[in-house]
Formats: sequence, structure tokens, C-alpha cells
Amino acid sequence: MNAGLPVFLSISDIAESTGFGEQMRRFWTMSDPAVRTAVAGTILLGLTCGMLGCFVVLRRMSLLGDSLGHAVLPGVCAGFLVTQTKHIGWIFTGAVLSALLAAGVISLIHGRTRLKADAAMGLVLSGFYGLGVVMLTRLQRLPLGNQSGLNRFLFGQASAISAQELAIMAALAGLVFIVVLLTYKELAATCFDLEFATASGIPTRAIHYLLMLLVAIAIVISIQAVGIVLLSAMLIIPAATAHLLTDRLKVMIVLSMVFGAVSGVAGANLSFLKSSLPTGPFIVAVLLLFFVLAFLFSPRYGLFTRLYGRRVQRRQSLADRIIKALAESRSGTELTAADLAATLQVSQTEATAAINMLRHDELIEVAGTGFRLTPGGVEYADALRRNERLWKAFLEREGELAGQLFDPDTDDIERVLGAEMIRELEGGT
Amino acid sequence: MIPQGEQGSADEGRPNLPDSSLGADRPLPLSVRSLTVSYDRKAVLWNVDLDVFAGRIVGVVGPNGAGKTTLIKAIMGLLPLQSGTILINGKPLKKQPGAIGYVPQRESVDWDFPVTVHDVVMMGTYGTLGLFRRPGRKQREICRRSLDQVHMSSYAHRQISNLSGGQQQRVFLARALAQEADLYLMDEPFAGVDAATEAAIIELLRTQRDTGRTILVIHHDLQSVADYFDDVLLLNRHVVAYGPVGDVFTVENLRTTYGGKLAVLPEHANGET
Repeated sequence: MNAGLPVFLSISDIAESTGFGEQMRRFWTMSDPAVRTAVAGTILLGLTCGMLGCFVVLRRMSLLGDSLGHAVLPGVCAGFLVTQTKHIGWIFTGAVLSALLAAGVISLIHGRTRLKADAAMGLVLSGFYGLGVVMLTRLQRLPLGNQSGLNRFLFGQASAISAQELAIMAALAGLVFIVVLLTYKELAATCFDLEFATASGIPTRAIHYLLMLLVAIAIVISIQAVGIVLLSAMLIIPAATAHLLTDRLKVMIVLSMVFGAVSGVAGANLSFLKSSLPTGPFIVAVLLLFFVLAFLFSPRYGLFTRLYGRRVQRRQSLADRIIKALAESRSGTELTAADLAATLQVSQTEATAAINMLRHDELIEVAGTGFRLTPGGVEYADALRRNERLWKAFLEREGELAGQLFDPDTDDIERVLGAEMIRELEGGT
Repeated sequence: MIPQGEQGSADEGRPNLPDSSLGADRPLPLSVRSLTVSYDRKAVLWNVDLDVFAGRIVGVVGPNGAGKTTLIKAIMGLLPLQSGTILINGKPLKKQPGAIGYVPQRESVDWDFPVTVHDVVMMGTYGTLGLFRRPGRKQREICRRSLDQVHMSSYAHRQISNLSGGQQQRVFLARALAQEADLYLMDEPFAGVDAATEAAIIELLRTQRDTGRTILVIHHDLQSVADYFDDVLLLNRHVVAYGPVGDVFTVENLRTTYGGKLAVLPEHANGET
């Protein structure tokens, strides 16, 4: 099935011979109406899937999105069988019904047997998809089958979206937007704490099925351009990426929609560069790129960001300890790097790195074989001591400051304690 | 066992059942009749009868697997009943959604969820707000007040994953307060919080009780039962004993409730050992 993905509509064909630059120009000037349709279509599906994906991921239903995505295949084939033509209305209807049936079967198995949700979803995913592939194989043997273009539903072909289909997609996407806006608070509450939401009187079961229906619609919108095999990526990856970047649900939804739309267009563009390239895999490749970037460099949760932050913090606290050590031995002789490393029980490399940082900041200077504090360094050491004293005072009096909330990350301890208390402490020492 | 020196005055908190003539015309906040709940044909709760009076703090005590959480989930309509009826203020819960305020166990949610403290507390108002309606000034005011009551106002715009265990518990309490219910069910609100928070929570519960609200609390620390609660429900799949702490919280009843599993008996339990 993967071999020889057929080519649909001819925009790519026509320009096969022309070069890369020419194709790029054709795409981005959007003079070709087929390109305009493809771009509008991928933006619509990117926005829709990005939005719904947030609720799917936060409700821990990612696998459900995957199952429903695969489960539409028998519906698509059945829709084709009814009309014997590629009539998109029937195919869409078949896909939605098929997805809803799959959702129903999953809850039935999950609710009425001892099987857990993951087993139920795996069962339905493979069962429906397998059935769909059998139907597809049969269809292709039919006289009309070869031109049916059903294959493109597997890996997607953005350029195959017709103007009429785009109109249907736009209507469906608009419907999804309105429904999500109307039921936003119920969706959010159900995702966060299902039991509490149920107990507080929100019709969570209805909301659950509504979300299923919306996801089915989003899937149907995406089949043409993304294809069934990689559909779940459109629901999961933009939302997962956005989740790594923000702590606000509304921001997450907006980011996820942006990722969905941008990667949709980028994927359509890439697949446009050469004929017979399916769109789905390119969209997913772009989505993955976003995800990897967020995974590594997210300001708060990125892998590199955290490792780097921890290193900076370690060096800073080592530097503070060096300043303190030098301040204590100020009257005596200077300390060498080796002395410092030994007193502070760190390796000489670590000590040297911190020393270099301090020298660069002109807090310490070379004196003989070792180092001593500069006047700036002496001041800094005083500040450190003062801070330490304030901290201790804060911790001792935390009981009486019960109403006082303090966050060491963001708050300035002097401000928290107040001028009066600081004076009191200063006087006391 | 830790000796608790200055606790001689435990008697002052000991309640009497309210005058039956007083509550005669008002339906009970919670009335459970022959409730049986089972999972896979195994009865977890068996034939539970329970009448809870208004303005009481009721401790629900029993060994692990006694069905304490099952009981409060059944009361909230989260579980299918095998038999029995549950009336809230004389009516079934279905007719009055949102009549029960709920504090679930802290581990029941994902604390990495992208919402702020304020958002979570706001969710307490959603049930009564109704479908399609957006929270407005009134709901924000309820939310602000609820956060004030648990001393979490300055955390309102913090993301919930940055909270300590005690703070998370207070957020859940604030969310329940925002429900403005008459009956509250709390699943181990004292689990894993420090002594200061525990004191603050019990103080808050007492304030709520004094305004006429009724609170059911699942509790594990037998030492504090006599201090914290007006009534106590000893539960082990069925009701072992229920009534004012002074009458019911006895060594004999505890033995029956816990079987041989109770190694240390609390000091405040009545009756000779």
C-alpha cells in the first residue's frame, strides 16, 4: 500500500520539470487556486486539531485520538461504496459515524469488561484499521476502484482538496470553534478533575461524548491532507509541544493552534515541491521539529535549559562560598586555588571555573600565589553575610509570620521582612 | 504513643445530638437508607443507614478497604448503587446538582495541569453556574473570598505545580468553599499536611460548621478524632457505630471496627482497656 502512492490533482505534475525555486515561488505567491485551497485547508485543520488536541492530551486520551484516527478508514471505504464515487459528503459522513462507533465500542469494552482503557483502545484501533484495509483492498479490485483515489486517505494529499471540500471543512471547523467557545469551562473542568466536575453537577458524560464528536469532526477535516495513518500526530504533537512551553491553558491552546497551522502549511509546501509526495509525513516532520526544539529549549522545562540553569546555579553558589572563605581569611594570608578547592571540598577544575568568573566580575584579584578580595568583593561578602542573617531571622520567626508568604525564587527577602524588622535585626547584631 | 499533656478539657468539645424537635421541620442534610455498593459482585458497602444532622463535623473512621471513599463517592452519585436511597436535604441529588461540596484526595489530579490557583478555585463555581454561562463578577468575588478564607490569596496567580502539599490541600478546600454547598464531603483533608496547616484547616471547618454547614471528613489519625469531630462514624463495610464522639468513640467499638488490626489505641477513646 505504501508503494507507488498515486498522484492526485495535477498542480505538482505540471511543474514537475521546473526547478525547486520555481515551485517555491508558485506556492508562496499563491497565484494557483489549488495552492490557495491547500493552504487554507491545512490552516483550518491545523487550528482545529491544535485546539482539540489540548483537551485530548490533558485528559490523557492521546491514545484515544490515535484509535479514532485509524478507526475512520472503514467508514471512508463504506462511504465510497455507497456512491461508487468520491463524493466527499458521504465519505465524511462515513468517517464520522465510524469514529463515533469506535468511541462507543471503546467505552463499552472499558466499562463492561475487566479490560483497561489501553487494551480496549488497542483492540479497536487495530480491529477497525484492519477491517478498513481489507475493505480498501477489495475496493481497488472494483472497476471504479482504481480511480477512486482512496489511497490518498492513508497518507494525505493537501493539493487534492477541492473548493467544495474546503467549504465543508470551513463549516465544520467553524462549528467546532463555536462549540469549544461555548463549553470551554466544562471542557477545562472535566479535563482537570473529572470526579469533582461530575460531583459539582457538570454533565461530564455528555461533555465526554461531545469531545468525542468534536474529535471525530477534526479527524474528518484532516483526513484529506494528513491521512489516516498519521492523523493522531496532528492532535497530539502540537498540544504536547505547547504544554512544554506554558502554564496557562488558554496560552497552551493558542500556541497549539499556531503550531498546528504553521506545520500544516509548511508540510503542504514541502510536499508540493515534488509530485507524488504525500503531505501527512511532511506535516508530522515539521511538528516533530517544533516538539524537539521545545523539548530541548523550553524556557522552563527544556532539557538543555534545565541542565544549563543547574550548572549556572552550582557555579554561582560555589563562587559565593569562595567569597566567604576569602573574607574569613582576609586578615591572614591569601588562599590559592588548590587551598580553596580543598577547603570547599570541590575539584580544582570547578574551583578554577568559579574563580575565573569572580575575577572577571572583579570581585577577587591575584595576590602573590593566591587570591584576595577586591574592595568590591569585600562589599559583596558583607552583602552575603547580611542576607544570610536575614534568612535565619526569617526562618526563626516564620511561625509569627504565618500570614506572610515568601518565595525565595522571586521575592527579595528584605522586602518581605520589611524595613522595621531589618532595622531591628541590624540593631541586634 | 505520644502523651498529650494539656488535653484534659476534651469534654468541652463533646457535642450532644441536636434537639429532635428543633430539626423536625427541616429535612436532614444527608440521609442514607440501606445503601449497598459492590464492585464485581463483591459488596464494598453493605446495608448502610446514616442520618447526618445539620451543623456537625462528622469523622468517618475505619481500616483500609472499609469503604470510606466508596461511601462518599456513592453519596455524590459517582458510583452505581446496588440498592438503597440517598437523600440530600430531603431530595435526591439529581434534582439539585451541586448541592454537595467535595474535597477529593490530593493525588487524584495532575498538578502539572496548566492552570493557576485562581482557575482551580473558580471551577468550584462552574457546577451551579450552568452550561454555556461564563463566570462573571459574582463568581470572581466568591473565588476571592474562598481564597482569603484559606489564606491563599497571594498565590492566586501561581501555577498549581509550584505549591507545597499543604498549599495544594488549601486550594482544594477553597475550591470546595466556592461551591457554596451546605454539605461537604472531604476525603482525608489532613493527609500529608504539616501541623500548622492541619490546625488552620480544622479551624476553617469549625467556622463553616458554626454557620450551619455539615461536613463529613474521612480521617485516619485516631488520636485527633475526639478533638476534631462532633460525631463519628465507625465504618467497616457496614456501620459499626455512629453517634456523638463521646458515646461512640470507645475502645470496644474501635476493636470491633478494626478487628485485630489496631495495635495502638488512642488515649481519648472512652472505656477501660
